[in-house]
Amino acid sequence: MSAGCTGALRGGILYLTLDSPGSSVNVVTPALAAELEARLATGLAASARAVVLQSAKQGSFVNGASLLLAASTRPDGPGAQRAYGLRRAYAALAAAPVPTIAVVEGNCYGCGLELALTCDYRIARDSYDTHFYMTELRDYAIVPFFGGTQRLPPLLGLRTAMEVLLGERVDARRALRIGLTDRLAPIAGVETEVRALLSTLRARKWPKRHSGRSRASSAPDFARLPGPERPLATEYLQLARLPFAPGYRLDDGLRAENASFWRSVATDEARHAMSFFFVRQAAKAHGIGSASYERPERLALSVREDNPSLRQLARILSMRRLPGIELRTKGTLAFAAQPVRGAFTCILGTGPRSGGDCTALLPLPGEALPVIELVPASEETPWRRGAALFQVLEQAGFAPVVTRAADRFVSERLIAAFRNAVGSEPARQDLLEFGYRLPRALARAVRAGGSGSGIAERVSAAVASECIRALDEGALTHPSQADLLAHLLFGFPVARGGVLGHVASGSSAAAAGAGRVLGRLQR
Amino acid sequence: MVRSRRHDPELFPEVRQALEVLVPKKLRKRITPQASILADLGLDSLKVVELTVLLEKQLGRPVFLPEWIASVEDPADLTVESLARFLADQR
Repeated sequence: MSAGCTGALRGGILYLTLDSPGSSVNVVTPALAAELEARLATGLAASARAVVLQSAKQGSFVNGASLLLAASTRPDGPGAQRAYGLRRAYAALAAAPVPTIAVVEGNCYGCGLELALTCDYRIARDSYDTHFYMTELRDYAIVPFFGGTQRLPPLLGLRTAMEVLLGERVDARRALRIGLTDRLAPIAGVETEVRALLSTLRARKWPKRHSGRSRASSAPDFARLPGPERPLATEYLQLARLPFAPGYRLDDGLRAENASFWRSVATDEARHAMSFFFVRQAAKAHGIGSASYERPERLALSVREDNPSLRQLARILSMRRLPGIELRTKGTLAFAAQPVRGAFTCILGTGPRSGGDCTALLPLPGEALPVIELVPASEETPWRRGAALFQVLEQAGFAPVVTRAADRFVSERLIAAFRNAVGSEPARQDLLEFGYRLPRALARAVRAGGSGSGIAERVSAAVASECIRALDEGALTHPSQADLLAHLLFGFPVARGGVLGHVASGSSAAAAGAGRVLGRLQR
Repeated sequence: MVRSRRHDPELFPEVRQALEVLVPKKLRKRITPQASILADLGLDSLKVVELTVLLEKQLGRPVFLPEWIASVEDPADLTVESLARFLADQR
């Protein structure tokens, strides 16, 4: 059985196809990397003129590295040896004497983006699920390990590279504009675009890429970053400046990145953030019974634009362009203000439990990753019937959360609790220093100033208290949903773990309740 | 550290039962106390999450595996036995 990378030589071109076994997304494992390295060597020995690196998964180029790598914390342990073996595969691809092309269809995250960066050329499919995202800072509070800080700056210029490194999500169109990719392929025309690039390369006698644009432009201002992200962002910037120094050698830059990486993974912030990955996935598994990223191959979707919420949803969905998802007037899945006969209906724009198969709320529709709270009409737990809806929304760039809200949506309650706790006090600086990354709609409602007032802790306790009430009432069915909502709605920092754990370890009046719902006071 | 292997650790039956749902059929005979959950049984991080949900159902309480994951320096040392012990210690 393949470990996740097959190779085929056709017409002198080596096609390397990523297909992680037993997983809905591609995940870089030591075995996959070893296989990639071996297939590459075989293909090059057979005189391949170019290499095309592609994915067999519908919505994933590469989503990340396996836990077997990601949970290693010591630079000299066996975990690290596996990680170094993996980096050898990246180096081999970067050193290939023939042109290499990454064909990116689907999520290209973290080490996946870094893998695409080892190639000379990049083609991206023009759909939302094809987006580029460096996960390391925002999701894991660590430094990249596979060359991101060294390969992005020469390609994009310092300023844009820093924006990407700090966690901006870049869709396929923007990727082309900023120079992260070389070509944009329509959903149905990826192969054509690959053939066109290969013909161009053939006509030019198979050139490798020449060095990228080197612009040591100014760095972004870190003052607006949440407090816990700033020290790491400063370290990123030091690394990102290296490629512009005279006499720079990539190997030296990679060594510096490596040293920073091992320092970063050993911090409490990184441990908390790693826990948060599980919080996020646990909330999903409790919601729909699976943590995977599968969605139907083809799905007809309809949105009846009967109210402002539905119009907003329709606008976002039509911009997101998902392969296999057709927006039609009649679909098997419908968003509407009233139940639609013959369709699985999600009622949007009214209260929870107002009919259909589920009701939903978009509390902050203007965000890059808008939360959508889903309340099933049935008592089915987990809500397997809603899995297709959940997966489509997730891959279209929403953050779905399943709750059992009764009279009011849980996200409405939490936002009210948040606003109430902030009140009219100057709080913006204190919340930022603590690590809150507020959505624009909420940030506007918070007065500037307030450093050192301790309001962030009070706000966290108020949000936790409302979560505890929702858990006790059964509106939330698992603590992970509470932690996820606090992160999605207010940007509660992953470097502090979940809001409940944070509050449980503090001394506020909510500490005991938080400990209780986390099951920590049972002994 | 040498530990007595005479008895299966407490909660091993519960952990095995949950793993049997997630581990591919041909790997199931490898579910022993010493098996590494990632390296030998082939679970990925999403499967570890699903393992959490199954264990919570069986044990009737929240389970926080990140603390277990953070308890080893090499993730290959995340064995079935260490998970059973972690769960027993959490009570």
